[in-house]
Amino acid sequence: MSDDSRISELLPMKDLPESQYMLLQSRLYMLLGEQTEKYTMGESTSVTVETAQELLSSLCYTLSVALGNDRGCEKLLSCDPASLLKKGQELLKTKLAELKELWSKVCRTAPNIPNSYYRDTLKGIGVYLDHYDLYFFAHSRPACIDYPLMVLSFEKLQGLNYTEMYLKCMLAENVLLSKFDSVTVAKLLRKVFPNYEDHYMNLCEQPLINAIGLAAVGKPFTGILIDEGDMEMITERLGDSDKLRKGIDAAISRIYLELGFSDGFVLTYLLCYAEMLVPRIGSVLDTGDLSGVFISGA
Amino acid sequence: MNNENILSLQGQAQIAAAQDELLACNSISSGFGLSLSEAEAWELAVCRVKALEASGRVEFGGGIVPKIIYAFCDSPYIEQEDYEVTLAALQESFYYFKTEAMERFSDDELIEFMLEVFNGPVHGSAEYLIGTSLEELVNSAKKGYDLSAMDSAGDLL
Repeated sequence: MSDDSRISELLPMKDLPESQYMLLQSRLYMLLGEQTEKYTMGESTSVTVETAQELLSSLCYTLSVALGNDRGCEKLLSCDPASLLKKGQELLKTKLAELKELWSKVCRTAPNIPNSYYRDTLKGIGVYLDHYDLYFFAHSRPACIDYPLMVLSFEKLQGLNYTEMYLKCMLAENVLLSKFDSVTVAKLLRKVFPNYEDHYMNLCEQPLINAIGLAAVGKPFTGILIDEGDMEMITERLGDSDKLRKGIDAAISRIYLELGFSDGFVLTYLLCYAEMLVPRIGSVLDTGDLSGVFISGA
Repeated sequence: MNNENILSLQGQAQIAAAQDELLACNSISSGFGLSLSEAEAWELAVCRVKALEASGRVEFGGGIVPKIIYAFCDSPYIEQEDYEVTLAALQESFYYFKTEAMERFSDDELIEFMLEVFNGPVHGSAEYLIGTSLEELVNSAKKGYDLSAMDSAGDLL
């Protein structure tokens, strides 16, 4: 990634007149020089290009945190960059403490379903938070993230912003899973992958899909097990492209309301997942066979 | 929009500043019969930019040559006629080996080693310093060698 794209990804540099762009670049350059000196503790006048680029990314990310929702160029040009950097670092300190709390909550609500990818990723995020360097590598993301979430639409986020979103999604999935019986969930997962404990897979997805299917046909859905009769009803209810979208949306609403959720994030997460599920079901409508999506006979 | 890489600003902004810093060093080095002309200082500053680029490094501020000058100016093996050329060689090798040694040595440690070998076993030959001792130093660094534990630069010849 070029330095220009690195900077403009994080800072509101678009459409700046060239003179202001150059002014901003020179300010960032000076700030980068100061950061580099701190990083080397005065023991080295030079660093590798790779190190300088990492320090620059960290700088830009921290400044973007300080700017927050105020993405105007004026603030970036009018404020003292060092003060803005310090403000960003203070905000990151607060966010780091919040994320440690959030991580603890995810750990406490983790499903009682063994999976090495889930376990190692959660553990790794804890290590990342303990060692997070908000001064020189603030933009870094946990390297350990292997567990696949149901919805991953925040790849462009950096640093703690990315980590926060990942943990929020993990928590939403934990909460969803907690509404289903863990023994039944394990049975269902075993049907999908016999060695789910060590398989690269999402634990919440299949139980939720089954729940959506049952909710769509008005059946109790927390049991998540689908029999032949249920499958026929689901195929009839959702096996038409005109009915599919409405059926899924109605099922999501029912699940959200009946399970007593009040967390707007969970609803958003469910709706985002529905966006992915609809085309997946749509792709097999022609065959009339939805057994690859809704798993029955567990 | 100017597509100039922010890190390449160092080339433009620093050459003149570096030249001034190098000329300022004459106040010390001239006591040992060594000084840089404006043209020589400019050339060294330009060489610095090239050496940094070649070694994949970025430097803020005036650069390492003033430190090299202060360390080497009293060397019995440097004379006015080869002052600029020797400084250029030492500068280039400094950046190269700093990267090759994977940042294991601070600037002062590396310069101290270079000076000790330059004034000692290699008798002022920058070429020999670069081709032997510095290569050995880097190889030792890659193996986790502790410079502070070595007994004089002679260990690495």
